[in-house]
Order: sequence, then structure tokens, then C-alpha cells
Amino acid sequence: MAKSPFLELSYDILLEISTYLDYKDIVHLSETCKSLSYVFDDKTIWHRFCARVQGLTNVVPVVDDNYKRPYAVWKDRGYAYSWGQQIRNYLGRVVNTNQYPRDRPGALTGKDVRSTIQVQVGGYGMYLLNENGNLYVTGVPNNVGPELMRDLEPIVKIHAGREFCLALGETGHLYQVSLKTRICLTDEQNMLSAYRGRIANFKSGWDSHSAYVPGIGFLVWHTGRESEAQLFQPEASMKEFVLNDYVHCAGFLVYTVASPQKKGAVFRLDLDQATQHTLGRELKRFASHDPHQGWHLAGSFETFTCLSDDGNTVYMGHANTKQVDDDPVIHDFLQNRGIKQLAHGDHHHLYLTSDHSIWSWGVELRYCGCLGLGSLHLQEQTSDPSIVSDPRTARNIVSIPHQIHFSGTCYSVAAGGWQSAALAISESVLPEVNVPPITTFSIIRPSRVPALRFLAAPATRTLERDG
Amino acid sequence: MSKIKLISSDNEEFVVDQLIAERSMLIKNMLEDVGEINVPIPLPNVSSNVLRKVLEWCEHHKNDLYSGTEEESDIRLKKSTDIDEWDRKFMAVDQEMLFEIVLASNYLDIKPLLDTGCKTVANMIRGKSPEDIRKTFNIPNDFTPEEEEQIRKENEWAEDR
Repeated sequence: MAKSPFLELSYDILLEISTYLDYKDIVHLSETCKSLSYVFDDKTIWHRFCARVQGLTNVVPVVDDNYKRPYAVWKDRGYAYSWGQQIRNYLGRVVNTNQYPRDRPGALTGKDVRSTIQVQVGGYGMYLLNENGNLYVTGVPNNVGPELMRDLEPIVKIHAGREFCLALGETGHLYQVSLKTRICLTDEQNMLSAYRGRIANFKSGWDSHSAYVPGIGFLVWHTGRESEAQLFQPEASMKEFVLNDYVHCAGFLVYTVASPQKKGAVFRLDLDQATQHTLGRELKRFASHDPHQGWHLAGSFETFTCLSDDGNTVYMGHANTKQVDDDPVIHDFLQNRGIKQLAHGDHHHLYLTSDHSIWSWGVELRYCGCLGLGSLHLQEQTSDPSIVSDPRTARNIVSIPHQIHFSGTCYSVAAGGWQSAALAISESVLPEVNVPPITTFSIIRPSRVPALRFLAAPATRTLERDG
Repeated sequence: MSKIKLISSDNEEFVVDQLIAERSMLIKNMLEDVGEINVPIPLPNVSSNVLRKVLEWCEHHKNDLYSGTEEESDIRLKKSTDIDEWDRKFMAVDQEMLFEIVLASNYLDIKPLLDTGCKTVANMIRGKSPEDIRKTFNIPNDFTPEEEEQIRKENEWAEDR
């Protein structure tokens, strides 16, 4: 048999071809012959698949050079979890007091969201992106599970704010979507048309949204005024400006830069300024004391946090942290914890540690359960002074972080409004959580309908057959 | 418009516009290094029939905005497999020529052509079983039945359940 020209292709070209294929095609290629088996069991390829799953890299150890293992484990046991306020099906799963409480993490097991690679929590529901680029949203009335957002191209990245989610398509288009609306912001007629394919980062905020275009700056627009984007150039010379990370809070952005001489510096850019070329203001007291440590940022409505690369330093700021010399809030309980990720809802906070456990603190309004710590107002509180349950305002206030217990290895957390979410490798997930469990006899009231009267009656009684 | 002389591996001469030739980053860099355009540029890894085809592509795409140094944004972790109509027809060639174009675009450093070639090959693979891939590309199966069974077991997780 003549040698296949396909086998003449170099390793680099085969790797390039693999970037256009999904995991199943890669597996099938590796099963064709020995030489392709070596190429397509490659660490680079499988690391790339893992890297698409928010936070998955380095969670599942590689064993015996089996580079597929982390991805295989994720495919088999990776779930999105949700907890918190459940009005209008925000959690995207069945909630009942016993088996699936709202105040503890519960898995979303619908087939379509089994392969969730990113989860974002908005003010009015959650957005889940699966590995096929399909975007799902919760909070659909009369629909317990997440609903597919139709008529969108495959999506590669999402970010949710209070009312909307920004979604980047694989062709470079940026969409602003919610339960009821979708706008393509990069259409020829729209304000960002010149920047299609050039947007490097984007955030949806409280009542405004932003996109960062390298060499150009931040483009900011308000909900309902999508055609009026304002350009903010955070440095006089945008050529040298390289953004590292940023968050979009209510009326201001906080960002860090990648240039080595400014690695540990944190800047604030106020969006209510009249001039578009307002330079970012450095928050000097937020500067990292270690020149080798950069910051990862997290933020919500009025709060932002700076997390050091090693996870051992956390500085918090808020809407009033405006002046150059304003001090960060430094909570002792957040220092030297090996934190991997922080997430903030309206008034509650989560963090994920390097041992893959989730911790939460803050406020639960109307006992909504967004802290994931169970029914705190029903528990005996005397032994823990850091938990205050106020029946008058129906609020739980947890002043220091408590660990959320669930059987799984968590690799990503998200929060927004009064809900929380996580992505995790599950140890044990109850079967088909989205299917309501069979109703037990004890909660069916006697009825005039004979069959239901029988169900409510003592178990010893038998039902006579109809003639 | 300045003209450039290119010499294929089988010594055929091609005289082309500099703008077209410089779609290849290899040629562009060579011209910058040499500092003059009158010197013929030898391309020992590309035969005349393949070079002719590559230059046809460069001619059609000469006005495309593309910087060879442009990096794919990190955000685009999954790549689009869309190929425009002209490129699809251009790539409708026998397998040997297709792979020659891919190898030539890699050697000549013409990233958009390499992307199009790789997408075309990827589209020939997508959704096929291992046996179908072997048939498509004439790949001999050199696994023993035992090895094949073991690999299939290892990869069970990837199949629809």
C-alpha cells in the first residue's frame, strides 16, 4: 500500500488541523494507526480541550502520561451546580426542601448542560455555555431546566451582568443577550462593527457594558443606548498599553496592566467623566508589595477584589475607593488561604481554594440560600457568633467565610444577584435532578378521587379491582 | 509595481508582482534581508505545479487585510471552520495536491492559506469513524487486534452513551 500523504504532514500541521476538530474526532484519529496515536494523544491537544473548560486545568491530575484523563473525567462527571434564590426558576433545576434544597449546591443534570464549559450568574438567572458553543439561560417561566438561546452562532466566551449577558461568537461577533432580547453589537449597522474579531475582553455590568480592544481602549455603552458607545483611552499612548485584567462595576472600571514595570499596579477609570480620554487613576495603596505578583480581579455592583497570583493576598475595594491614596480593605480571613478564584453577588461573596473547596460569606436576603450553607435561620446559632439570623428583616448575615459542603471537586465559582453557581467534578450526583422526584405518600392530602383516597389511607388497605 | 522572480524546485521561473509574492512572509523576509528585488528567490521545497496554485491564491487574496504577525486572540479557543466560496472551490483538488498546498503554505509562511487548507482537511475528518478516516486518507491499520481493543476500551468515554 502506498504511503498515505496524510502521514507526510508534519507534527505542527497535524496540531494545527486538530484545532478545528472536537474531542471525538481527535480520539478517532488516534485510533487509526500507531503514528497518529502518538500525535493525537498529545499533551498540547488535550490541554487545549481542558483549557476551554473554565478552571479545569490542573484539577484532575494526569496519570501515567494519559493526557486525555482530565478531559475524560470531566466528560464523565463534570456538572454545573446552582443554589440561591429560586423565583422564576433562576436556578435551572428542581428545588424541594428535602432532596434538592435551594440553599445547598444542586447539580444541573440535563443532557445539554452536562458539558458546561463556562457558567455566569446574572441578576435574573444564569447563563451556561456548553462545549458545542450553545448558550443556555435559566429563569424561563414554566421551564425548570435551562433553555437554549436559539439563532446564535457558536459562542466561545460569555460574561453576565445584572440584566444581560455578553457573548462572543466564534466568528468574532459580540452579542448582548437576555431572556427576551438579543442584539449583535458588531453587525455592520451597529456601533462595534469596526471592532469585530478584535475584542480581547468584555464585561456586562449593572446598567452599562464594556469591551476592550487592544490599541484602542475601552468601549462603554449603556443598556438601551447600545448605539452610543463611548471610547475611554486609559493611557495617553495606547500603543504601549497592554491590559491584563479588568472588572466593570457600577459606574467605574478597575483594571491591571501587563507591562512588567506596572505589574502589581491597580487602576480605576470612572465612566461618568465628560471626556473620553480620561486617564485611569492609579490606586497606589493597592500596589502589590511583591514585584513578581500580579493581580486577578473580581467585581460586582459596588465591590471589587484584587487577588494575587499565588492566592495569598486579597485586597477589597468599593465604589467609594476613588482617591489615589484610599486604602484597600484587608480582611485577615482572606489572607494566606491559597485562593484560586473570587466571585461576588449583590451582597454575598464566594471563594474557591487550591484544595477545590468553596467558602462563602455575606448576606442572604429573605433566607434565599445564596450562601449555600443550608437553612441558617433554622439552625441553632448560639455556637457560631459569626452567623446572625434576623427574623425581622428575614436576613442571614455571615461575617466570616464558612465552607460549603458538597461531594465534589470544584474548579470554578460564579455569583450574581442572589444566586451562586459552581462547576465541579462530582463524586456522587443524584440521578436526573431536573426530573421531579416521585411524590411521596405522606404529602398527598385525602381527596374525593378514590385512587388518591387510597394513597392517603393506611398502607395495609388494598384497592378493590373495578368490575 | 515591482516584479519578483521565484524559482520552483524543478527550476521553473515565475515572475510575479511584489505585492502578491509578499503574501508569503518567507519571501517578504527574504526580500528585506537581501535588500533588493532583482535577485531570483529559490524555493527548493515547492514544485512548479504547486507554486502556480499557491500564486493563484495569493493573486485572489492580494488585497486582503492581514498582518502575518497577528496573533489569534486567546479568547478564540475554538476556531471557526467556515471557508468562503472561492476558497472552497480553490481547495477542491485531489488529496495529493491538497496536502502539497498545505505543506507549501506552511513552508512559505502564508498563514491564511494554511488555515484554509487545515480547515479543508478537518472537514474531511469531522464526524468519521476511525475506519472511515483510514479509507479517506488511505491509512494502513498497523494495530494488532489486541491493541485496537485496548485503545477502544480506553476511549469508551468519548463515544455517545
